[in-house]
Amino acid sequence: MSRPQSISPLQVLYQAFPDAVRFVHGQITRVRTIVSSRGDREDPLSGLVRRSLARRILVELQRRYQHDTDLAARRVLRRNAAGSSAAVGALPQPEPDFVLPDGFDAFLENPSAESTGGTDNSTPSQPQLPAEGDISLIEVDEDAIVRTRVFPRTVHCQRCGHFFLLDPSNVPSTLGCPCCRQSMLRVEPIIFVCGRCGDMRELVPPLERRGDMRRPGMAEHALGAATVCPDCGRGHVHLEKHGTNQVAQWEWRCTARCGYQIVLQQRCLRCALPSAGDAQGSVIFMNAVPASAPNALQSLVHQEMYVNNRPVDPVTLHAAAREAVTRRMSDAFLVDIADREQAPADSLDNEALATLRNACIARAFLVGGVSAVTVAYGYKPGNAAAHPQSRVAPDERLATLFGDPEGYSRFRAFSHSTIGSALVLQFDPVRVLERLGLDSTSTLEDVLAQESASISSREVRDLLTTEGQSIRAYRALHAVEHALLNAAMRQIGSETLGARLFPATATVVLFEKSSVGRGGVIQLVNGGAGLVQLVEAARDLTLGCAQGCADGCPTCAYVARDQYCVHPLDELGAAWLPANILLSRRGAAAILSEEYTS
Amino acid sequence: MPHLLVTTLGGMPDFPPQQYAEAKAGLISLADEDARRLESTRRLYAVRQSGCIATRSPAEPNTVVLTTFGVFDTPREMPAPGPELAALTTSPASLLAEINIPTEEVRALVTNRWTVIQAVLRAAGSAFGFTRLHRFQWDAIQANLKFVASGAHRPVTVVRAPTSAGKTVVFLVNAAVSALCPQEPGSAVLVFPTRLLNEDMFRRLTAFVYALRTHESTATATGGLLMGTSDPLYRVLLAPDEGEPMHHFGRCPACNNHAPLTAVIGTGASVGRILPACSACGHRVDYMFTTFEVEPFLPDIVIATPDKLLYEATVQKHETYRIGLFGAPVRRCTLCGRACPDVHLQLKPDAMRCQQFHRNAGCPGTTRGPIEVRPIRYMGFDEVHSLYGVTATYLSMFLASLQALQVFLSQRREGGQNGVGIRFETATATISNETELIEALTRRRQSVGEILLIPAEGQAHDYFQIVNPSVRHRVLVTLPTRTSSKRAFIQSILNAYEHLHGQRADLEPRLASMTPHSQDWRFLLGYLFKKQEGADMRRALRDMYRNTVGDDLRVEFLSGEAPKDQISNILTRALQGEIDILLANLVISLGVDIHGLNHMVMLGMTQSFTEFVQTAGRTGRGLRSSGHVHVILQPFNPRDAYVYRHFHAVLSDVSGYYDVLPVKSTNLFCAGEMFGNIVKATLVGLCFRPQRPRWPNAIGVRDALGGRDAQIRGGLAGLLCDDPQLLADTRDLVDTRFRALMDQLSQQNAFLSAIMTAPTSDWLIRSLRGRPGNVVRVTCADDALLARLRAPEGGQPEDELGDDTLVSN
Repeated sequence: MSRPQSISPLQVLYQAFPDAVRFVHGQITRVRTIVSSRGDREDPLSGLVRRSLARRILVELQRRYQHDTDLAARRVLRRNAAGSSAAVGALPQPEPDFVLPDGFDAFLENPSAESTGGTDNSTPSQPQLPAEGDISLIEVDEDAIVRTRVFPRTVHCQRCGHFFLLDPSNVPSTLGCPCCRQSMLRVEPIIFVCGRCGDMRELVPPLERRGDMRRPGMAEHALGAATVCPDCGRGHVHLEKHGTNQVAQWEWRCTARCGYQIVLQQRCLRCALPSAGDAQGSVIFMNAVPASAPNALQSLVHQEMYVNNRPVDPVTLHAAAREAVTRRMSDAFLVDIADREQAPADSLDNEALATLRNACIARAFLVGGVSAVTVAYGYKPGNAAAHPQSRVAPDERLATLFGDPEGYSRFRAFSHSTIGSALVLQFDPVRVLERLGLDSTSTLEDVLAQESASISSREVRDLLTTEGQSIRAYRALHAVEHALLNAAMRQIGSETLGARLFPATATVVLFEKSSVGRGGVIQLVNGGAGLVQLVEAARDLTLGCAQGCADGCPTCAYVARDQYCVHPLDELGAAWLPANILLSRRGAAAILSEEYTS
Repeated sequence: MPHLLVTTLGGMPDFPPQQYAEAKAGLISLADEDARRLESTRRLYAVRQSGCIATRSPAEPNTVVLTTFGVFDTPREMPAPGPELAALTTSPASLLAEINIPTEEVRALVTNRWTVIQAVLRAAGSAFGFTRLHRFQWDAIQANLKFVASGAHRPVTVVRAPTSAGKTVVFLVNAAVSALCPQEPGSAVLVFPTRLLNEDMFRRLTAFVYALRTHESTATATGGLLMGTSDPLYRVLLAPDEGEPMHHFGRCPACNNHAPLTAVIGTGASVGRILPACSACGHRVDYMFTTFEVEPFLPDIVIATPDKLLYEATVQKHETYRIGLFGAPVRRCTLCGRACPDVHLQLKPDAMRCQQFHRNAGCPGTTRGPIEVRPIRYMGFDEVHSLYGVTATYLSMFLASLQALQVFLSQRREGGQNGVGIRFETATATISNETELIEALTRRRQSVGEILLIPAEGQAHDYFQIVNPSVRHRVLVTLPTRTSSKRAFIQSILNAYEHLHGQRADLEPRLASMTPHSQDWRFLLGYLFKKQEGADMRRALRDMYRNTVGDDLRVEFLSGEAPKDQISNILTRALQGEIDILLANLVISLGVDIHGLNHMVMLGMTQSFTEFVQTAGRTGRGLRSSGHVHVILQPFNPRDAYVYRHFHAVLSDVSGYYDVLPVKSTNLFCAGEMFGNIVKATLVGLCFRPQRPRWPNAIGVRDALGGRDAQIRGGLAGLLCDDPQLLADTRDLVDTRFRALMDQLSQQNAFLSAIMTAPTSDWLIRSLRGRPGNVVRVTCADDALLARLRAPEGGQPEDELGDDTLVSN
């Protein structure tokens, strides 16, 4: 009896996006598409999301454009060189680093059916910012279905090495090995993946020789039956593993022992750049990984918050809160310490205001109708795809953007949205700098810009041991965010809150990750008394550590679950940072308490 | 292994205490919090470790060993001995002599109910094989005797003992005493958070109840298991055909035969039942009741999941069938013993035949037994640290409501000798804010002495003493370099398997020269945090072993979301050696007693140190052999990096790193969600008052309220809110919703449960986790191929334990 397979919407966006590999009933499959009976989102917010996505898609298109332009230019150069060589009978110039084998161009000029991007001869056109109508947006909820197919279809007999691809339209009655008839065929989960373009290919034996290379095998050649040896035509091709897990030592071999004996190695033809003129060739060795390797492909995910159908920023949030107060909406709350013209919330006495002021808080307010939208719009190869001999820098990795299988729109994205209220705490940037002992002639924005440059240029390994004055402002604000989130969750007894830090404006937003009515930030603030309690609790968390740590540890500054820590990667210019990194409890204490001396 | 030895001549390196006993003694000696913090600082930073772990040699204090890996031994902390069982069970006087200042009430209880108390203690001794109680056990048992004697239900006892110290004995003895000793017996409920743990405890309860029944005074003792049955596979398990195995009962309690008990059809007093029977000795376990049988038979001690209790008390459609479990007076069938609520007989006076109420039982008897009231008098909670966040809030509201329900249904007060208040007992919560959690759950207050810690704060060292040179478990920590943590994890497991069972099986012969129990590390368990890693690792281990050795490796992944009929089955197969490598996640860490688990490989530090202690604590149980836990750190995880840098300081004071979990008794959102459950239970209780019962329909409810709506609404607000600051908001919420419900009831003129449980209704929540979130279906178009891959030889598909799914219960 099979149980229905089901996963959460966020799991879909991060782990079950189109082309991702997923276990279904214990077997490896690959996501083909995600559909929803609701069709495209057409709500007002979706327009904003599309516009925001368009900018991100453009960045990826431009990266692809550079690659394609380079490819086109090289082709022209090579054709010209070939023409002039033929004319004068000159020999080709040797390449200093990488020489493309003779037969290679044949494949480049005749792209395979599976090779879909960047290999045609037409001159690529400069990408334009996609229009809203170019992007189809599907909300991933209970109406959505993730459709997969078995992948890889490759099976292997451990005993004799028999190897072929199972044909889903013609499934054998058993998986007994048809060659040796003494063992069972098992799914061979190893696939090739390109570290630059993320192309994934099932293992298929190469075909006949062309020059120094062999024609790459196509899945159809091995579908339903083993590949006939392209050299002798008598035997068929087996996969010999030689008793090792080192794929580099595996070999294709003809059963007739005719000399067809080839190590498993695959170059990516989809994104290859031939050498031309002075430019070296750039062909990526595809890495052999288990299909289910979780970080072979990395989802391109964008998270953004909106209020009143505008992207969240401190100004928008403040305007929304003021409007709620003006309209005397229930549970409206706003205290503006910096702006003396604004009357603070009635429920706060002078002592409470002093507490907030002491914690550098300039404003605190509640905002309703805050949408948090997470969108996946494509993927890039992850670290597992990197071949040791073909390193690809993160900014050279090419994105595959999701498309609409029916062709109604150029791009497709998948979203998950939540709506709730948020508590916004804006700290005074000038006082934050003073408290941290940083150059008060600079703005916090400038300081953060410098720190972002430092973060984006350093390895995670180095960032793990960052301490002292290094990256002080971000670490301190990040620790303030953690302290507030930890204290808030304890105060309402629920883990339903999330936090976002806008470091350049020293703003922390505590928002509801699911619909919790008045049991989230409204209960947290509780008309003002709760807010003071929250700030005091956060301050107490930072003032000292029961374990006596120097500047933050699992006891005092970390959040309990890694997924609660979300870095503002865009602002920091970083591709990825682990949770609970870059924290300064002492910096946070300095911000939250004037009396604190480290 | 690579290492550097640094010996200081003419001086001693200034190292803080690194070994567990030394560090613990040092911390215990510091009463002052500031001093403790100072010492912690010194311990953390006196030795800065980077790229290696520096360990001062315990044997030669002037020598420091620098290694790339870390080894830390946690010694056994043996419970201090309490009184001999023989001394306790000789006579009332001998037992009273062991009680610390017995009150007159205690003397009276012990004297009047001596044979029952004696039987309970002896049964525990024979079922669990001990002749002497530990001191903490006896303290908890005598505390419970005092509360039973005085009828005090407010005090909560917190049994604070390390894993495998013997808390189960306390729970079972106190449950039996609480259920069987009062003038009017009641029932006791033991609540465990996971199905696996409940099934495990049910087997222990079976052994205990069997032992109880060998004594004349407790010869009629019974037990039961109350768990959700929404999983169709579990329903099948509960209704086997004759001759099929009934794994969930464990081995035969009478002869200990290993073969599973098999199903036989009950006759006579067991008519309509399927009973487990032993094929070796013929013993029939007719005194233990499964989920469908608990309400009809009302056993003395029930193992239950919190969700099922919530369902039975507040969601169930046919309330009449369930209320006996919550204190409503019942009459039993004179033939089969099934209970029927007296209010049902009052409302349907002509329905006296047993099968009119229990329609599927087919019993020809009549329900003419005397009136019996069996409220829940005692609830024991284990693994209480797993009940946090909104679950804690919902549970707090539910427990408050449950006590109110018992008062309504029995029309007796909570306190006093025959009161229907529930006394709570919990085991240690391995979190930092233990008291806060227990206060939130039970709404008892430490400030007024209602929370009793056993042993008391600061006295743990008198109750548990470190035994040197014993090792409870050894933690080996390695930091992979030039390879991924996952690859290191796979290599480590396959390597361990090869040395244990493979062609190079050399470990046991080597161990044989050191211990007579060289086989104690054969069972190999890989611990993973992420569910989605389970299926992947299972496949990777199989493939990689097949690639290198050519053989198939039997690997299974166990998570709480595995099919309900499979969890204990898989565990049993693993322990019997039918599975080569077991992979598991959090489900294994919650209190399950796995004898024979001493060898574990963990992928990364767990996200919380509570989970680490619980998981590592699964090894080294029993006193025979030490556990071996290999933690493969993930270098880019700050938590792992922290452990590596402060290796000894962290592992010698793990409790200092326990989580502070969010726990509150009140939340405005939860109050709104739980309102329906609470109001339904309350109105049903009001309607089923024994003096003048009414059907809980529009007319009956209005009649039962009798114009006291405001008072009831106030009471409901009190059940939903334990925070004075939020009471006004809660009151508003209750007023609004109560009015809406009454309007709906009047308009539809139907039964309360028909309205509230209608498919389109959202009045009720069915789980203490709240309403389920959105889930997305995943389908595979190649269904024929998928089926073939799952059943390569054309037979039945392989199990799906590796599937990653959120569907549960």
